[in-house]
Amino acid sequence: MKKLMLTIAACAVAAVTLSGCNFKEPATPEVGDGGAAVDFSASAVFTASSDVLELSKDTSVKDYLDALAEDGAIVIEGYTGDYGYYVTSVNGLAESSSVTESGSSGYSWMLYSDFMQEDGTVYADPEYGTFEYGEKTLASASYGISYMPCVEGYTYALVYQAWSYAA
Amino acid sequence: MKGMGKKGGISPARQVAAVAVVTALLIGGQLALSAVAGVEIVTVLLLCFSWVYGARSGMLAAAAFSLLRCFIWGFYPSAMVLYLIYYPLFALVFGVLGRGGTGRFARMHIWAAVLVDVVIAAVGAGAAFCAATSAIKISRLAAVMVKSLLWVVFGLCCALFAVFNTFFILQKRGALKDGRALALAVAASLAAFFTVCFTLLDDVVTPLFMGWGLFSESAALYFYTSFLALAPQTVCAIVSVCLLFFPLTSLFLKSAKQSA
Repeated sequence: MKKLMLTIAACAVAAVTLSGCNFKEPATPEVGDGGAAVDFSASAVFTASSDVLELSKDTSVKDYLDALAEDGAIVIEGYTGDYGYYVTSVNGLAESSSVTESGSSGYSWMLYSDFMQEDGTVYADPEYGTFEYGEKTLASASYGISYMPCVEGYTYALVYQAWSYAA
Repeated sequence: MKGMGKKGGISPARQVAAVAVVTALLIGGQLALSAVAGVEIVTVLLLCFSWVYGARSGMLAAAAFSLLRCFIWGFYPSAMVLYLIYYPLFALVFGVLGRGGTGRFARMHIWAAVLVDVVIAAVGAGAAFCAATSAIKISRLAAVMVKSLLWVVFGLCCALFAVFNTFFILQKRGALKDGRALALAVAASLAAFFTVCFTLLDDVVTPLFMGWGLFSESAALYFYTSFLALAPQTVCAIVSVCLLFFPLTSLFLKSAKQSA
C-alpha cells in the first residue's frame, strides 16, 4: 500500500513538472525513400512562458530548455558546434544513422517553431519543412536551439525526424 | 624550405604511405576538434602537406579525406560533392605554390603581389561590409558574435596587407634574403580566401541539392546562417596558418627527406 502511494505521488510530481513540456513517445518509425523523407515519430513541444523562465530579448530556446531540464521536465544531450548547440538526444531517445548499399538514413532531432520572422530576419521557413501540432503549423527552424530566440506565446517543437538519402 | 614534388625523389610507395598518414591526421583532427566551435585544423594541415609534398600528393590526400570522413560524419551527397570539389582544388593551388619552395617568393613579380593584395583586400572589405551594415540578416542572438568576428577578420586582413607589402618592398630593395615571410603572408591570405570560398560554395551546392533554387528565399536564408561558421573559421584559418605554417612545413619536409 505504501509502495502504491509512493508511486501515485511520484506520478503526480512527474505530471506537474512535465506540464511545461509535452513529450510524445516514438511511434513505429518508417523511413521514407529518397530525398529528405518527412516522418515524425516523437516530439517534445512547449509554448514559451515566463512562468518557466523570465524571457528577455536575449533568451534562447537553449536557455528555456535548460530551465525545463532543471525542473526535470526534459533531458537534453548534445554538443556545441559551429552552429551552436546540437541536440543528439531528448529524454534518452538518441539520433541514429545507418549506411546501406541503397544509401544512408537515420533519425535526427529537428527544431520547429511558429516564431518565423522578426525585423526582416527569418527564423523558421516552411519551405524547409513543417510540423503540425494541434491547430498550429510550425516551420523548420533556420537556427539551432542556441541561436533561436525564445519568445513568449510562441510554440517550439523538437521533433525526432527521419531522413534518408538514396545512393 | 623546398617542396619535394617529383624532383624530391620520393618513391611512389612512400608517397602513398605519407598520403595515408596525412589522411588519418586530417580525419582525426577534424573529429578531435569537432566539438570546439569555429576551430579546425584541416586547412593548415592540408595546406602544409600539399606545400611540401606537391599538388599530386595533396590532391590524393584531399580526395581520400573527403570520402573516408563520410564513415564518421555520414554519406550526405551535398557534403561529399562540396568536399570533393573544394579540397582537391585547395591542395592543387597550395601544391603549385609550394613547388620550388619559399625561394621563389624572394623573386616575386609585381603582378603576383598585386594579385595577393586584391585577395587580402577582397576578404577584408567583404568582412567589414558585412560587419558594418545590416546586409546579413542573422539571428539577433548571434549578431554580436558574428559581427565581432567579422571585424576581427577585417583587422587580420589589414595586418596581413601591411605585413605583406612591407616585406615585399623590403625584398625588392634587397633587404630580405629569403622569401619566407612573403610565403607565410601569401599562404595565410589564400587560406582565408579559400575558407570564405568553402562556405560560399556550400551556399551554392546545398540549395541546388535541396531543390530550393539558387535565388530563392530559402537559399538566401541558408547564406545568412552560414556566417555562423564562416566568421570563426576564417579567423581560425588565418591564425592557425600564421602560427603553424613554419613548424608543420618543416616537419613534413623532414619526413619527406627521411623517406626519400
